[in-house]
Amino acid sequence: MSGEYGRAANVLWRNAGDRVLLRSLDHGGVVSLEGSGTMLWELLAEPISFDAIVAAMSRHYAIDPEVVREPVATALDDLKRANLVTFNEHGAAAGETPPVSLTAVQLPAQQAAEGTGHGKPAGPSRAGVSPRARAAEAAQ
Amino acid sequence: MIAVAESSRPLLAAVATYGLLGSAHEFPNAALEDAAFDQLLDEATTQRLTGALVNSIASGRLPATDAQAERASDAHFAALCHCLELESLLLHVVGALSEHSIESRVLKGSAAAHLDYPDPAQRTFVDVDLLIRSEDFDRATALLTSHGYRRTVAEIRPGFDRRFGKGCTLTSAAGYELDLHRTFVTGPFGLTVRLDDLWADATPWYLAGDKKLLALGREQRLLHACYHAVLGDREPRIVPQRDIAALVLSDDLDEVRVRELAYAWRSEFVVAKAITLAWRTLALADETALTAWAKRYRPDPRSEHAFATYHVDHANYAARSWASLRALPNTRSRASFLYSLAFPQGGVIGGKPLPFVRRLMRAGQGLRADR
Repeated sequence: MSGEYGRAANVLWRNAGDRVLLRSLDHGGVVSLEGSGTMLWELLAEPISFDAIVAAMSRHYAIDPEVVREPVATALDDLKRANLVTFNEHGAAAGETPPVSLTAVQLPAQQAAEGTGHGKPAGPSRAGVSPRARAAEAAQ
Repeated sequence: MIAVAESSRPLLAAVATYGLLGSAHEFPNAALEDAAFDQLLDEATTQRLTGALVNSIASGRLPATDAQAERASDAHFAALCHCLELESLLLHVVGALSEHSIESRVLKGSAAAHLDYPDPAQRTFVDVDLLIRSEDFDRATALLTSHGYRRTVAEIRPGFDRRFGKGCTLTSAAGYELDLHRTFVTGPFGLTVRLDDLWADATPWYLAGDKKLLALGREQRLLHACYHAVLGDREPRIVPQRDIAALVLSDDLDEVRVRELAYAWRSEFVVAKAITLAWRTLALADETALTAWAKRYRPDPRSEHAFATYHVDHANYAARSWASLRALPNTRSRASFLYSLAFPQGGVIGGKPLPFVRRLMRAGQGLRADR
């Protein structure tokens, strides 16, 4: 995979403590990133390659890069399909893809919890990217 | 555990100082009882201070149980979701207006959050406020109505909003509220704002990547926050006072310009009152030249009478209209104003029908008797 990921232009967002809330202008609904998802969003502030993301996550959570690759790839794919993240292949613009519901994607909880060293383990309910369907309802 | 207080407002004011240095407010040294905490949370939600509440807990200033922290976080989460929906609406509306060459300035809410707070998540809001030029006002309202927005109250007479009104409230199909402003407030203090001054400066910021929005200049934003703080609600809200503190303590504020504008708009009393109120509510110790001036300021009788129409017990729409009449610049505009109020077309005045002139005259007599 040769290219770089970045935040999509049409995204409104807010930091909310240990969460990041994202709202694409292209379709309604607020998505909440938690745990490692917030770190992923931070990394996407500047264009970044998949390998660089994996390396950073692996380093931060002290997890083998091979273990991190798959959940990160799935999370990026979900975010891309929700028009929240773009992927620019070197020399080519990213195409638009239709929005879909995000599915829960988590780093292996046990390893993440052992590896963070930040006091708050990235357990199954917090690690990764998860949809917050109640967000839209709560906003009404 | 700390028991329920009579009112959580003093503690809420302490919470609101999050991010400000030098407040004399103190926090409890143990978690509140659940009932007291829930009261605080309710008021924080109503007063749009969930961001400051969550940050106060996270920083350890306000002790809280894990469950209380979770409830505060959930309330803030809901408030932020609402803000994101409103900013989406804001971009849509500003884009639609811009396509028709209608200029706008974003007021309060989103503009304050992004320009006057270090983290926009700290300043939540519940509606979108846009300033539109008087000459564009009717066109803007018609355009947005054609986009599915609905006025909550009909215009008193065609052209009244454009000439004398504060503006109007529209709601989107999804129920979100959009306030179109021509000036800051109804009544005499709204009529003496020099509207050209509002458009003289602009502060840009960006949402969703490269989408540029314009807010008022910093000094005009402060004056607006002052109007909002002391003329907007019968019981002053804390959020505009927090906005005032953020702006007054900003290094880039031109205090001389603030006083010049306040003088030109005949609103020195409003500005002085709002700044002293904010300093008292937030128990701030830091003094600036502006806060010192505000404490020294003594209003003239005319300003006091105008201010009273927003606050005294017998204040009503008619009394404020009477004061508005006196604020208008010439006989022709006074006659037109009076005619519009006396013979409205489909509008609602102060929630009551005519006869209006009689009530207006009674209000005028009441105000004169107060002198």
